[in-house]
Order: sequence, then C-alpha cells, then structure tokens
Amino acid sequence: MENFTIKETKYTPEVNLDIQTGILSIKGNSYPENTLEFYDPILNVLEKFFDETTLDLIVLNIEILYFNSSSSRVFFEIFDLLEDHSERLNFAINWIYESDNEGILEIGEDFKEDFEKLNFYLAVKE
Amino acid sequence: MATKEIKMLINDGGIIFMAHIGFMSQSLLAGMIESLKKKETLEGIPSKISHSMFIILIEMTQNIIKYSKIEPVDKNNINSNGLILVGRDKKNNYFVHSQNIVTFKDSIKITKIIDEMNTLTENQIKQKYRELRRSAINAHPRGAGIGFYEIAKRASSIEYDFIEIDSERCNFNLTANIK
Repeated sequence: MENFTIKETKYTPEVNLDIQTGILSIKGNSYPENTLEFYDPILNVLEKFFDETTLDLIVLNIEILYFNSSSSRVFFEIFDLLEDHSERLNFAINWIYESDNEGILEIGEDFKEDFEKLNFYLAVKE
Repeated sequence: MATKEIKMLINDGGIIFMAHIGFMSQSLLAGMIESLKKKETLEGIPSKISHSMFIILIEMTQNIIKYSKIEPVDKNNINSNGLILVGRDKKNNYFVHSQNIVTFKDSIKITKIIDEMNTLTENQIKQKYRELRRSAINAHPRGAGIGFYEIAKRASSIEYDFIEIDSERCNFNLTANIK
C-alpha cells in the first residue's frame, strides 16, 4: 500500500494518509458538488489501510471550515468505519478548530457525542 | 422576496452583502464565499454568524445547482438557475434568501419537511438532524431532507412560500434568518 494524497481545491479538502506514521489529515473546505464521488475513493483506501496496518495508533487530524450537509454525512461514515475497527486498532481523532469559530467547535461536539467509543479530541488550532 | 421587496429592504435600512441572479455553479459559489469573506464586507459580524451564513449559503446554492427545474417533467433537465441573496435587515437580523423553480411534486415534499421542522424546538431539530445523518448511511444521497436541517440548525426562523407558475412548476422562495 502507498501513501495517499489529494490536493486542496476551493471546495474540497487536502487529504493525506501517511501509512508509515498512521496519520490521516483532512484540511480545508468540503462542499463538492458530488460528495460521494469525492469521498468514495478515500473511504476505500481507509478501509484497506485499516485492514492491513499493524500500527499501534492511527491519528486523524481533521480541520474543516465550510462544508455541505452531505460531507457531514461522510464524516459520520468515516467515524463509523473507525468504530467498526476500534476493537483491533487504536484511533485518536483531533477535531481542529480556530479559537473564535464556535460553529466548528459545536459540530465537533456533536460528533464526539455520537461516537463515545472513539478517542475524540476537540483541539484549538495553535 | 420580490425585486420590490429587495428595494424596500435597502430603503428600510437593511444591507445586502451579496446578491446573485442567474446560473449557479460550484466555482461561482466558491467565488461568493471568497468575496463575502473579505474583511471589509463582514467586519464586526460575530464569527459564529458568518460561519452559519456560509454554511446556509452553500446549502441553498447547491440546492439550486442540483434541483432547479425550468422545464417540468424531464427529470434530467436540471437548470441551475436561481437567486441568492445575503443580507441584514433593519432589525440587525442576518439572513440568506434563495429563489428557484421547482416541480409541483418537489414543492409538496419540501412543504412537508419545512412544516415539520418549524414545529420542532431547537433541541429537537438538533436531534432529528443527527438521526437523519445516522440513518443516511447506505441510503440514497437524495431526498432525506438533511440539507434543510443543516439550515434549520443555524436559523432562528425559516420562511418559505411557493408561487405557482403553471400546473407543474412553482417558484420556491426560502429565507433563513440566522441565529
């Protein structure tokens, strides 16, 4: 398996999966016209990675600013995938927000509540 | 909101930050966000309000991109044409307004969703949104109405109406007043 990278556009985030360090970062806006078309390949890569990896810890750094409702669904799906693999793997999710952006903080709080089994951290951007 | 009302809004001490009439596209949406984000445009607006404003703008514009129909009957004939307006009224309420043509059939679905939404409390809306998001896994991407809940979560009130064009189409007016 190889590292996976997607470059940022105005309405889709930068996505980076480093399979050696086990760090996945998603950063930017997420309001593609066809959300599933954008995220399906990412979900497939993640599934393969979770099945194959022997790392002790996988870290997700998520820093999203503006998004559409279908992206919010996909994030839910990603966290659901993590929960499915959480017996064998350890995950840490950093939901990163700017200190003055209450909106993004609240979205993170909702996800944290929905996925109590996951280590979900709300992290202020430094 | 008709053109006349838009003029009244300005005469009444309201502000229009941005308005666009015509074809909508993803790059146009990104451009609208970029221009609104310029400091001078939104200076002094709490970040929570401006964030909500952008999320609602995205949702409404993508509704127009995906579902506007100038010609009825043909399902594939989507015409991404409409009106988007972002402003503040004289009582200092921020709002996002959209107008586009939908089929009569869609208007029934939309009415049902918004009317139900308008009976719910803030917490119930949040709850329902999360239920919809959860149940959406493996479901068809269209039709769950989660986009309207995405808007409702950030709105103090939602107003809408449909103005009949002919037996198959109507003009859909939607205003979300930001919380």
